[in-house]
Amino acid sequence: MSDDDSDRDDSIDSEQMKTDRYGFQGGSQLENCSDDTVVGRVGMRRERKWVSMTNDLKSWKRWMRWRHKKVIERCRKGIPSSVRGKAWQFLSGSYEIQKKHEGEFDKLLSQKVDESVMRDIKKDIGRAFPYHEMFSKNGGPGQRELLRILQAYSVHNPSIGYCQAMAPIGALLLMHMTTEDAFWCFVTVCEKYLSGFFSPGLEAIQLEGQVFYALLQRHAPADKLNIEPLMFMTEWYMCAFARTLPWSLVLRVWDLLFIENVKIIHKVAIATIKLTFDSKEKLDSSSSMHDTLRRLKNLPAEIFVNNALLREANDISITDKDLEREYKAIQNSETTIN
Amino acid sequence: MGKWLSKLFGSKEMRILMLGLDAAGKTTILYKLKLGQSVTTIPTVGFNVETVTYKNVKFNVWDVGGQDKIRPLWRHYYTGTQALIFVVDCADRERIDEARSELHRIINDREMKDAIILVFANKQDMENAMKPQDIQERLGLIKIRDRNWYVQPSCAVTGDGLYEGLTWLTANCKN
Repeated sequence: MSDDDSDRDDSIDSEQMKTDRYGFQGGSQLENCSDDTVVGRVGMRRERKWVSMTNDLKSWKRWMRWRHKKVIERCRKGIPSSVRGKAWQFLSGSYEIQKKHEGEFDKLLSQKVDESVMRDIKKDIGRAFPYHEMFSKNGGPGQRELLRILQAYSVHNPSIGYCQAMAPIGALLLMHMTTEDAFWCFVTVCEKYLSGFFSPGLEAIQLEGQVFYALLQRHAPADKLNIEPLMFMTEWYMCAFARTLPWSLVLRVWDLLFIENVKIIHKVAIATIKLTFDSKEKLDSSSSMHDTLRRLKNLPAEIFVNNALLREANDISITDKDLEREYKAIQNSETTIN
Repeated sequence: MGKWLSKLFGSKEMRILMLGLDAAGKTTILYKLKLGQSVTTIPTVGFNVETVTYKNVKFNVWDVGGQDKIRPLWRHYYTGTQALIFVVDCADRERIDEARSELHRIINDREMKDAIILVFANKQDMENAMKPQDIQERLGLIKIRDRNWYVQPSCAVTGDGLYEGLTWLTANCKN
């Protein structure tokens, strides 16, 4: 009798637990407004185009070589979810790297791991996405796979080991591909896209903070933020917004991360500031540092409506040359001080 | 004017910086104070900030991520801090020396020289948790005579000890 009761309770619980289309069951990134995911005929057409582009490596390389602009344009429209995993592997180059290192993942997993690194990873594994169906269960398959990725990476790159920003990134990739595929894609993220962001001392992040501030002055001159960017930008940059934005938007930013690299992070960061403090009135009302930072920690929902944030970001032009110029300017000013 | 009025009616505002090693319970403390309930937290890579009002004092509490990789960020939050809350996981004996050296690094910073120091000896519900007296000693607080410090035993999940800590802050903060 009591067994029957508990069974019934369980089934009611699981029925009541709502899961959004990305697998979230709660938390701040649960989908609570309709997004712009394209369905119907346009969606199907886009899907066909992507399937044909990512059909095999040879045709993909042709696209990247001869029609690179078209690929960027298609990434901007959003990669259809059915091909996203494969597209990310092609875009990042992890597909080829993995082919060249067959068996390496298992080898890394069989090697000895630094004890304190392993302790740190284990402490965080249940906290990565506690509200996502794949990662909520302690010791469940999602958590086990994430552990394997982080463990293998800490052996692959012991100078970095493990950084807390890595867990949400590993989990994000695991939502789209198998463990080994996700591992190699993770390697490219750490070494090509967010390069140096997890190194001790946070020097790369501090440099990006200076670049971001310079770019902000150029692209949003009216918004003079009188606070140190490092106070609010760390999570944005280290997790490439995976902890910050509604999930549909996280995916769209990542579609672009793989082709625009850190430029898209700068663009989204600038657009966020621009839209969050878009009028004189709002700037005045957030005059104190405390209020400004609180506002940036709880971004107003209206900046996501009709995809406003991403459209604003895509309207900002930042080239590799712009970045180089900023890096140089910072270097020069540092040598003069010294 | 606003400031003058608030002075007249005795409502104070206090800027608190909450630091400590990763997984010590900082974010849990912040939301327990704010919402009165224990929430599921995720590792803090950047910061959290909330305002908590207690006994007519408005506490602006900053909670900054504690993993070693992101500790270089801490100093950016020092300016203007009136009180440091340092959270210690009392069940983590292995890392108590690491906690000690981080605490001393913080309080010896020029920007933090006027801040009073509240230590939450957290996770007292855990079997094997170090007692507040042990914590005082292991953190090397006893030798510190030129600073106002206090160790408050706490359990963030149940909320035990948290308001006692805030009461100490209000009584000891020069404003």
